[in-house]
Amino acid sequence: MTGISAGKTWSRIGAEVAPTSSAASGVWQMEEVAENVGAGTWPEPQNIKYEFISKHVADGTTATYDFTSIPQTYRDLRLVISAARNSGSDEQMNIFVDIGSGFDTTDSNYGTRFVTNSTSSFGAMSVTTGAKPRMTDDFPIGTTWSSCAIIDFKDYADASKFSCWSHWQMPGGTSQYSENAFGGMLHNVVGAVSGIRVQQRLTTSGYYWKSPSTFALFGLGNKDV
Amino acid sequence: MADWEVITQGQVTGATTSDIDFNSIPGTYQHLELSLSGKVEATNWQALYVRVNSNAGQWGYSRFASTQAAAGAVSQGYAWSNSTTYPEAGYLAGNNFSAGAFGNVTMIFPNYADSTVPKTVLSRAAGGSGSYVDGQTSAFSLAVTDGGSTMPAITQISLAPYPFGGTTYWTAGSSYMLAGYKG
Repeated sequence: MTGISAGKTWSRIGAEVAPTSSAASGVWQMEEVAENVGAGTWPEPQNIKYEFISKHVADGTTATYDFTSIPQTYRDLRLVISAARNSGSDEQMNIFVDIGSGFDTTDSNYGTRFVTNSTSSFGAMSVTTGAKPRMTDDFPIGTTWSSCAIIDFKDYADASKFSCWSHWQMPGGTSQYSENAFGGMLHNVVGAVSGIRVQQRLTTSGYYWKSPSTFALFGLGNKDV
Repeated sequence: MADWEVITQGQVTGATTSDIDFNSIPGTYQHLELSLSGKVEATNWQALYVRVNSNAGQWGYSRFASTQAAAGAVSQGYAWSNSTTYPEAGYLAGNNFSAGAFGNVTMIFPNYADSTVPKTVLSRAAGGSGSYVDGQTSAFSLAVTDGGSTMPAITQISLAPYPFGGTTYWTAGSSYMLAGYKG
């Protein structure tokens, strides 16, 4: 009979082939599948992954939002931001990571470099760098309009690499624009990222994230095995 | 059916991989997205080159990138060439950098399977050698034609530190992922 044969990895005759994180070779009964799914040992789908992980929507009462317990099952993370602040002058946004021992808020453990335009219609672009985990000076720029950014973390679950992320941002909105920028940031301690914190550099009430600033985290692909 | 799918992904495990090849790319998606965490067996920052369809056609690119100074001017550039030179698409960490340092590159290939138009690529990259991002954070736009105004569907992509098939190899641990957006 097709599909039934002794000595094959998919045969029910002989030793059961236990599933791995990437494959489940064999013929499986429903109960066995359910048992392994419940035990967390059934492999993830290999080719379908662009999943929403979680989201924060600001209520105007805090300058800090944390993504914690980030699953270690994706290859990349993508953080999409649409934000404004309550009041105050233009300010910077910090991104801190947790690689297993809590959020590292020591500026000197990070570095940033970005290219940004000037506020003139014509003129030179410029490069800014520093030992800090910060976006450009004006993110978010305003109180009545949104700034937006896409931030990509590559291979974030590989514990042998520095966490490194690129960002592309546009702080701007009605009648104002400034510092359209792209760049990167680095955390100079190797470790898998299990948490991401987005925080205004100044955390007094004027710099709280304005409602409904949103921070959405997505997972892309599967962690390499 | 998902709207975004991993076509293939993997990690360099040996010390003699000169090209990362994506072969037999199906034409069933609207756009391609390529993600790279890369490092090469050469010192300092190395340019990343991209090639499609083992192409003998024409390539052009325009880019702007940070300098590697602490602060200062932006470098910009462009080139148009025949098959002897391939377009740059970012920068990769060298093997004299900290062990954990890898370059971070994202590329989008819109309408890659439309054979009636030239092909374009958007790429952005960043990376640090150690304590901060001291590589050339960069944005590239690439245009690819096949000697005219159109080009066959992209079915193959290669990434390499120049030249393709050369002896500058990828460092073990470099990883890649090619995905497709449904349209």
